[in-house]
Amino acid sequence: MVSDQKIKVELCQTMKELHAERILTDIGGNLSFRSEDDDQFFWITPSGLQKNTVEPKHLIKMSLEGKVISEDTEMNPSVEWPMHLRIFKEDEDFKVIIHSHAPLATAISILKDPPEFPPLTAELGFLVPEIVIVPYEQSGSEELGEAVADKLWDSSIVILENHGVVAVGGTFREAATKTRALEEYLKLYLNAQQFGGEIRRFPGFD
Amino acid sequence: MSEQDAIDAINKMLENFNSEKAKKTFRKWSKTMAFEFTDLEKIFYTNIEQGVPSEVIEGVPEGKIHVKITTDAATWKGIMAGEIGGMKAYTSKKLKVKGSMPDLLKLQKLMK
Repeated sequence: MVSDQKIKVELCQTMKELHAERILTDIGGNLSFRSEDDDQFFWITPSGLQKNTVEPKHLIKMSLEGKVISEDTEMNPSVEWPMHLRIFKEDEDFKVIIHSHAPLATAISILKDPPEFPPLTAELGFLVPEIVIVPYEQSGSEELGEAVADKLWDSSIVILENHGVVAVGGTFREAATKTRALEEYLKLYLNAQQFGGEIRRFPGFD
Repeated sequence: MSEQDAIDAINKMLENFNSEKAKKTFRKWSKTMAFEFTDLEKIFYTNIEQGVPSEVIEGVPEGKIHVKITTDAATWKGIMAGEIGGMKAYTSKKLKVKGSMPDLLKLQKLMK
């Protein structure tokens, strides 16, 4: 079994990488994982810290009842903790959560009528089979958590209207790869459009 | 490998629709899935309504087939018994699939 301490290091490393890639902004995004030591708890990033400065000592332990367990920190958990908690309650296989403000996906999130995105390549299709958008709910609300948890049965990476992206997985590497793949998908779509002409759908397995 | 073996293996997959996770994953799924067994020279299908499959029917469905699996009975039985990996069967061309990627990725979880 992997220790919580090791996963904390992976979380902070992932956070730094995604911040360097501008998928996390200075103030936008939060990460969490279900405790391997006791699955009734989870660890989440704090509110108010610049994302590339988060260290394992800053992470906050919470119970699935929504109580802060950590006593050795003056920091508060991310304001999005109700969403993280609700997702962890939805399924035991949702072990890590990356909530980002990935720029292209967030741009899609603010479109009133987003286009229907065709499947483009096999590689991207395995990671992001379809673009799933969660209807708007207020940031930090239980309703947002409820809406996201429901859509995660359609795709393990979803776009939140007027907000950002949530990806879940078994590891931070897996969830980060999906987050990057979503950006790659949208970038490829944009690039193809700039050439003009009709986009040919990936034929799937026909 | 008998026809009944092939049908039993289909039914094993359809039983997997009853798990709590599958009920949530396929809650909006209303599609027709067909199985063509090249060695038996037979086609079977099921109509799935909001994640609930019908019984297995022999023949070609009248409407659109959303997902089609073409293989031989022994390979299909081996996949559903967990003795053959679905992906390995696909790459070795013992199994062909037709359908959209989101559908196939979801179904892959039931093929064991």
